This record gives sequence, structure tokens and C-alpha cells, in this order.
Amino acid sequence: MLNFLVHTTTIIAMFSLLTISLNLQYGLTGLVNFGMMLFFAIGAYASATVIFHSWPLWLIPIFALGAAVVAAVVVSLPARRLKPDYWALVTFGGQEVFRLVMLNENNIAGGSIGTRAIPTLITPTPLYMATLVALVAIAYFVVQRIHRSAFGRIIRTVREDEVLAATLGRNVYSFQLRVMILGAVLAAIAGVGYAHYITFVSPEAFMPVETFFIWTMLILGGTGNTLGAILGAAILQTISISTRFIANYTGLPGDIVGNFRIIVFGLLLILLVMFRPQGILPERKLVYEYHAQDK
Amino acid sequence: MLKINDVVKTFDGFTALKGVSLDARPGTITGLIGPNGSGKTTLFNVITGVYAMDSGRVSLFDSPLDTRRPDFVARRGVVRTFQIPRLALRMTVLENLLAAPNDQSGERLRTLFSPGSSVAAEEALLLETAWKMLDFLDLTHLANDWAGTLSGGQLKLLSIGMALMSEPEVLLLDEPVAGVNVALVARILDTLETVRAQQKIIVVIEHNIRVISDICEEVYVMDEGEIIAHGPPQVIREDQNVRRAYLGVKAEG
Amino acid sequence: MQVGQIAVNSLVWAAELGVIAIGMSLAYGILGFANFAHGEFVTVGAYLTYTLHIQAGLPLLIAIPIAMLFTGLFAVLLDIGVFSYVRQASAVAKMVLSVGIAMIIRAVISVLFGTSALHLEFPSKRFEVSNVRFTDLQIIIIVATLISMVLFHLVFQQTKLGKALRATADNPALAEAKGINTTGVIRWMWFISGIFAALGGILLGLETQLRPALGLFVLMPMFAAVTVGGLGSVYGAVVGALVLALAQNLALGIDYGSLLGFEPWRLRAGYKTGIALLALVATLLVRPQGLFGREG
Repeated sequence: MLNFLVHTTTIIAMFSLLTISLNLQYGLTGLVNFGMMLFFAIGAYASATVIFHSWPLWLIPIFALGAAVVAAVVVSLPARRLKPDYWALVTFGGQEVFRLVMLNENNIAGGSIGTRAIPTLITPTPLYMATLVALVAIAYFVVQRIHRSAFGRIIRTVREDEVLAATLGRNVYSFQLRVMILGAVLAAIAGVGYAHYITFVSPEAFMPVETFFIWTMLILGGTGNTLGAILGAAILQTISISTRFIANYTGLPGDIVGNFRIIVFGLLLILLVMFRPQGILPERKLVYEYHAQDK
Repeated sequence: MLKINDVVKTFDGFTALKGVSLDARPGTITGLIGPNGSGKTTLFNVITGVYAMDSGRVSLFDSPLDTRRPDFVARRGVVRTFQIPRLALRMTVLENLLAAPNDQSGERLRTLFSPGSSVAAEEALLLETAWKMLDFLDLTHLANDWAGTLSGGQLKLLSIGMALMSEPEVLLLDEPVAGVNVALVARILDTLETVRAQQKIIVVIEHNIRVISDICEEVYVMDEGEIIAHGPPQVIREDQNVRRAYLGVKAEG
Repeated sequence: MQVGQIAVNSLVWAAELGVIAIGMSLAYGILGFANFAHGEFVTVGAYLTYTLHIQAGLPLLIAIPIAMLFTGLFAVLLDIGVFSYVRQASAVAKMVLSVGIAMIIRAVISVLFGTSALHLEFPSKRFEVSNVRFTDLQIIIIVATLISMVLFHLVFQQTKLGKALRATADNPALAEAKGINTTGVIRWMWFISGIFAALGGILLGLETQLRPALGLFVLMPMFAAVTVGGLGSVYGAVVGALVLALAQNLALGIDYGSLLGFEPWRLRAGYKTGIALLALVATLLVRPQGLFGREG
């Protein structure tokens, strides 16, 4: 039972990093990123590649962060010229291109076979979980700080009206780029966490549809609310794991249950968008007291 | 002095601006009037970088103004408002004001992670200025409301406030009093006169001829993408070309 | 690979894609958002045909039109049941909504039919003319799509419905003001795009195989074709499909290695989707209105 709780918490922590990343990009800055798997996979494959080639382990953070930053720059370049729904398409395709490269090039990280035996590096498992939870806490505080800062004000202005932000003297692209880099780094960290926990990385884990699970988690928990992002991840992972229990209990085959999970997620997404797009926890209003110093 | 020279702008074959020139001096309010579709807002959009001009030159205080991007223009101190006010609706009224002034040190990411007291001091000062502005606009009671809950007139007032927060050299206002109730109109006009007294440059697009006559030293009249007349308000009122352009359009006031 | 073979392969793929892209382009022009569920209409049409032909034993010539009809009706139902409630929502919100629907459709199909590939039995005869291989099925596909495009053209240009469709795509507010029943027009648009998507899926299914991921497979090329052809231009979508098909096959067929003086090296077939994405990005950056689209 304890093992199960530790495992669930670890998975929730991993997804929380992803939803917090998406919240920063979409919830706060209005960047419609349909390609969350790109940065996630970059992190995971940074680990996988290093292990596959038996390179020194300190290369992992360098690859993960370096590639994440590069990917963020590349992906954000079209953002300045494209309408949000078209940029969303581009990000959706972009994540798939990365996956295709990893799938087809066998000498990067094993191609379709993937990389096995990735060392966990932090044992025992509860300690690993604690590390991830700590990372989530850090991410939470960082994004909260951003939300309240002048930087946060500007990215939210960009979200509301890019033209307004520009006519107020801001280089909109520069802000979008910085947000993308931060978001990419967060997601890449989640990817590294994934690789060393599951100890196996293959292209199947990064199918394009997975990005929409993260979207569902964020929209459910509350777009624009960092705590909501974590909440959404927790709720949907719990549903996910419950459906697996139902599978074991009723003896239904794994992929039927997997599909039921997708149906549930899809229904949630539809219902949320139609009836409660702001999710469970609405965006927090920053209230200032008249002539007081605290926020 | 804000000098606009021979600005041409076409959209898909339609020439919206046919070579428009306009001068606006510090310490004056210059009016820009004309029938709907004459190109007034397009002129604003072009000189603030929202649209790219086909040709033309803009200079501010004798140095050329780079109008390729809105943020270039704004950073030279040229701030504008929009006919339909642009605001961050899902931010509070106070936050909108706080977001307005440029180059806050809190906008640099590294200041987030290094506890610098200068950022805190700047924020405190900014807050004070914003509260004062709210007071001035008589919007203090709405400070912590989402901007999206404000009425149209209040939104106009708020956008003017935001424009003023950045202490601009040039204020370009697109219909600042249209649709605003009478008491607020008086406040807005008072504000403009205060800014004028600070020797700033103000250009106002308006339909309300009486307002224009009251506060503008110089008026430019546009019709179909060209300036058809300019001069002091009394002269404009008598101008035959202007009357012809407005035939069919009831002049208010 | 020989030029002739590339041409034939491209033509067939372009035909299948073109038929799907026409519906997508029409939908994007009128609805104003990228409909992720459109890919699933492709899948639904194909699997419906499978049910009618393989499972129920109906001859193909009967199964296909019924499947197309039902897919069209399904699309209309989606509009009535879901999309008509969110007309005022942002393009992004509608996109996300369509994603949710697409997810559900794909999952349901996976549950009902399993994830392994299925086949619409069609014994095709092979031909070879001067080293270029093709099948009678491929010819049928090209002819069928040509006929359907001509039919579409007739409806689009010559009928009252077509006129209404064009008016609504151009300017919905104006169309409404002129007395056009835009809701009805939108329903017809869903119907037409549903039928055409189904046809594309059926032809694809006949030529290759049926998998639940069929919709996802055509999604990127479909968006790319519509973008390359031009926003708002329905015929442009057909040209876009052609251009894209050629680009994909050429990119895969060219031996870059030998070209540059190295050992023979080609792109692996798995990168086909990547090329669609490249075409999409390139178009959006260089000429966002596509080949025939209007600005904005």
C-alpha cells in the first residue's frame, strides 16, 4: 500500500511539473502550446542518450537543459508571426517530429527499441519521490513569484492583448521567449525524472495525444492557477490509476481500459471547455491594500 | 515637435493614407477630425508601428522615429490609446496601471531570484504613483476589480490613466471622450490640459467638434486619406472643404 | 525512385488528401478554427465502410455511400450537440473542444474494432508501364476523387447552397444580414466536410489499411495542405494537397547522399509527417496566406 502511494505521488509530481510548465506558458502568458511532449521527451531522451552511449552522467543535465533551451527558441520563433491556433498546430507537429527522429534514428537512443536500464540514481524510491516533490515545490514557488512580479504583470498583459503590451513599450517576443525557455526547462526536468524512475525510455511514451492529457489536467485544475495545475494533475492521475485498478478487478484487457481512460479524459475536456473553462481553482486575483506595503 | 511627413499606407489595393503630413508642437493639443473611414485611426496605427507604413517619415524632436514596431515607438515616449480601449481585462484595474510604465527592473527575470531591495523600492514607488493616478481618475473604489467589469467610459478613463503612467512625451488619444458621460469628460479634458501645461505633445482624434474647438490650438481635418485643411479651430469651422466633407454627417456641438 | 513512380504515388496520395482537405478548408473558412475532429471523420468513414462491407457483407458500392452519408450526419450531430453551443468561444477553445471529441472518437473506435490493422478487401490488379507500377485501385481512387471534386465544384458554384456557403465563408455577419440562414449553412457545411472526409478515409483504407490512428495520420498533412493551398480557398486546398504530396514523396525519394557526392542516403519513410510539418511552417512563415488565400 505504501509503495503504491509513493509511486502515485511520484507520478503526480512528474505530471505536476508538466502542468505547471503549461500553466506558465498558457495560463499566464497565453501561449497555446500543443506540443508539451517535445520538452518532456527532450529531458527523457537526454538521459536515455547518455546512458545508451555510456557517456558520463554529468552530461545529462547539460543535454537536457541545453536541448530544452534550443527547442524553446526554435519553437518560439514562429510564435511572433503566427496566430495562436496556427502556432498550436506547429507545436503539435514539432513534438511529433522529435519523436519520429528518436524513433527512426537507431543510433541516438535505440530507435524504436528505446533505451533500457537507466539507473535510478536516487534510491530508495521514497527518496526519489521526495526529490520530485521538492522540485514541484520549487517550481510552484518560482511560478508564484513570477505571477506577482512585474514580469508576471507583463506576461499576463501579453496574454490579454499583445498589441497593448507592445504599445506600452514591451518587446512581446522577448517575454514569450523567456517564458518558453522556463517552461521548457521545467518540462525537461520532468522528463529526466521520468527516465530515471521508469528506467526505460522509448518513443511510445511520447505520443502526440499525451500533450492533451496535460491540457485536460490544467484546464480541470484551473488555468492560471499554479496550485490548480497541481490539483488537476493529482485528480486526473488518480482517475487514471483507478481505471487501472478497475481493469485488474474486472479482468478487462489493458488497452480497452486505456481507451476508457482516454474517453473519460476527452469527456472531461469537452465538459470543461463548454461549462467551466476556468476549472476548479480560478486564477488568483492580486489584491492590493490602499497605502499598504503587502500584496 | 512631432513631425509626420507624407505617410502613405495601402491595404490590398485600397489607399487608406495618401501622403499625410502633420506637425504637433509641445505644449499644444492638436486635433485630428474627419468623417468615419477618413484614415485617422489608420494614421495613429501607422505611426505607432501597429501597421507598417508604405512610405513616409516620422520624427520626434528632430530625430527620426523608428515605427517598425510598437515597442520601439513607445520607448521613445510616444504612447497612445485606442478607439475601443485595449486593456488587460483579466487583471485588476490597479494592475493595469502598474503594468503601464516601461522598463521596470522587476521585468528582468534575474531580479526575481536575487533579492534586490531596489526592485522592492521601485515597486513601492510604482504602487504609490498608481494609487495617485486612481485617485486622480476617481477610480480608487474599483482598484481591485477585474478591469473587465468596468463600464465603457471607465475603460476609456483607465486607458488614459495607463497612458499617463508612462510619463509620455507624446500622447496620442483616439476618441478619448466618445461615449463617456459628461462629468468624466470634464475630468479627461482637465487632465489633458494639465499634461499640456507640462509642455507635452498631444494629438487627439475626436468627433465632438465642440470638444475639439474648446481645447485644441490646431486642428487637422482628414477626408479619404488626405489632410484637407488645417489651422485653428475657428478657421476650420468656416472652411468650405471641411463643410463639404462633413455634408451628410451631423456635426455635434 | 523514378520520377514517374513519384508522380503516380503523389497523385494518389494527393487525391485522397485533396478530398479530405476540401472539406477541411471549407470548414476552416466558415468556422474559423482548426478542427482536430476532422481527422476522425476520415477514420469514422473508413471504419463504417468496414462494418457495412466486411461485417455486414454489403457490396462496396452500397457500403461506401451509406458510410459517407452516416459520417456526414455524424458531423452534423456533432455541430448540433456540441459546437452550436460554443459559437462565441475563442478559436483556441473550439480547437481544444475538437481535440476532446477527436480523442473520444479514436478511443471508441479502438474499443469497438481493436487496435490492429484491418483491411477492406479489394483485390487490385497491378500494372506496370515503363517501370512505373500502379494498380487499378489507384486509378479508381484518382477518378473517384476527380468526380467528387467536380461535383463539389458544381454544388459550390452553381447552387443556392453553394452561394450561401461562399457568402458565409466570406463574411458571416453580412451573410446573416442578407437573410441567409447561417445556422443551416453551417450544418450543411459539416455534412459536406463529413462526407468528403469519409470518402478520403475510405479510399485511404482501400489503398492501405485501417487503424484507429488513421485520423491522426492525416491530421498534419491535412492542415498542411489547407495552409499551403491558402486560407479561405477551397480549390487551393486541392492544389495544396498536390503540392504537399509531391513534396513528401520527392523529399523521401531523393537520394541526398549521392546528390552531395556521398554514399546513397535517403530520408526514412517515417519522416513523411515531418515533411508535412515543414511545409506547414514554411508556408506560414514565408507566405501565410498560402498560394491562393486572401490576406488575414
